[in-house]
Amino acid sequence: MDNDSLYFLSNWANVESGGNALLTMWNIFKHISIHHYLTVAAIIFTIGFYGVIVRRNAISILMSIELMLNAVNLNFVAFNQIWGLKITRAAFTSNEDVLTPVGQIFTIFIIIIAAAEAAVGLAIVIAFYRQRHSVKVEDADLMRW
Amino acid sequence: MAISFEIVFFGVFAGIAVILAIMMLSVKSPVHAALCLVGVMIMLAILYLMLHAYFLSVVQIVVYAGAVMVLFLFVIMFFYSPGASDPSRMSVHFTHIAGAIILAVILLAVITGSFLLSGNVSLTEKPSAAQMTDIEKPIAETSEAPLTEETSRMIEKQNPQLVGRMLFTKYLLPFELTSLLLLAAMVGAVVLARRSPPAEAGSAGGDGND
Repeated sequence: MDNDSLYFLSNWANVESGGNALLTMWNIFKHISIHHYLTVAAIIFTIGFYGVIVRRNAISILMSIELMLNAVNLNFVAFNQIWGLKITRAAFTSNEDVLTPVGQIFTIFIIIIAAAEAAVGLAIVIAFYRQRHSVKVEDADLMRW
Repeated sequence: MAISFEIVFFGVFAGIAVILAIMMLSVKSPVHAALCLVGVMIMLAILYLMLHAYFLSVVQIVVYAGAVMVLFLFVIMFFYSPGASDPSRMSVHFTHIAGAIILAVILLAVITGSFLLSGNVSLTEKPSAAQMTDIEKPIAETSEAPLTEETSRMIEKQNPQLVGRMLFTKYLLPFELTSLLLLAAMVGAVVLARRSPPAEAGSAGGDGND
């Protein structure tokens, strides 16, 4: 099986024994695998993290947090496709193997909690704006000293 | 072997997602930033489709791109005045660039490491069933064939029916607890965003809990 041998190719051993690291990476990259999803999730997570530490607008920070949560969700779904628990379900004629979507269910919970977080966070921003007439996080300095 | 269609689709949608995520941080108007975030979420929903997570893909669009982002847009419209430019965004700090470089280095290291070191698993032979704990057993069973034809045939059966069945049987208690969480969040949001609590407490005539 092409995919199989490709995925479980000993990549690092190949590099150690004199193989080209870039060529090895390209060989993995040519075929779709979990690595692609994990890479995209890592990139989006990093962008979101950068937004959280750089932006000063509270709403932008909340949006960046949403970006990070989305990246984590993508990780969960991708991992679920290869490491989901396999169960045997009784079908009409015989038993069939199905992967339980545990990662997807966890992702649903994350989405629910993200919705709650967005609602409470935005309410805090509104309340803060009423107090200080600003949405900058550096204006929230009552407990600074 | 030629590059497959699947990876072309993946590259297009993942590329759009990453570009929109970068645009979210770089555009000036917060409304445009929110729209970029909506775009990222829709692209991620397409990636979920490619991962055979059909129900989740629809939930992502309806809940995230729909409900949550409408909430964000409401609040942005509440605060945003188009004429006012944000002076704090114009100043590019040295620390910002340093942080970006550090994050980029870490990201590259993680990606390269994940690509190169992943095959190491296969160097050791597969552990026998007796050596595995109960938790590891089903994982090791399926980790042999990631995204092969057989696996994707099994994944095909991961329809909304299966998600719903698990959500309402095995994970019923957490599911019900999230309804409590949402209720608490709703009450909290209403209390926090209420206009001028002291005046209302005065007019309400003494049952004034804040």
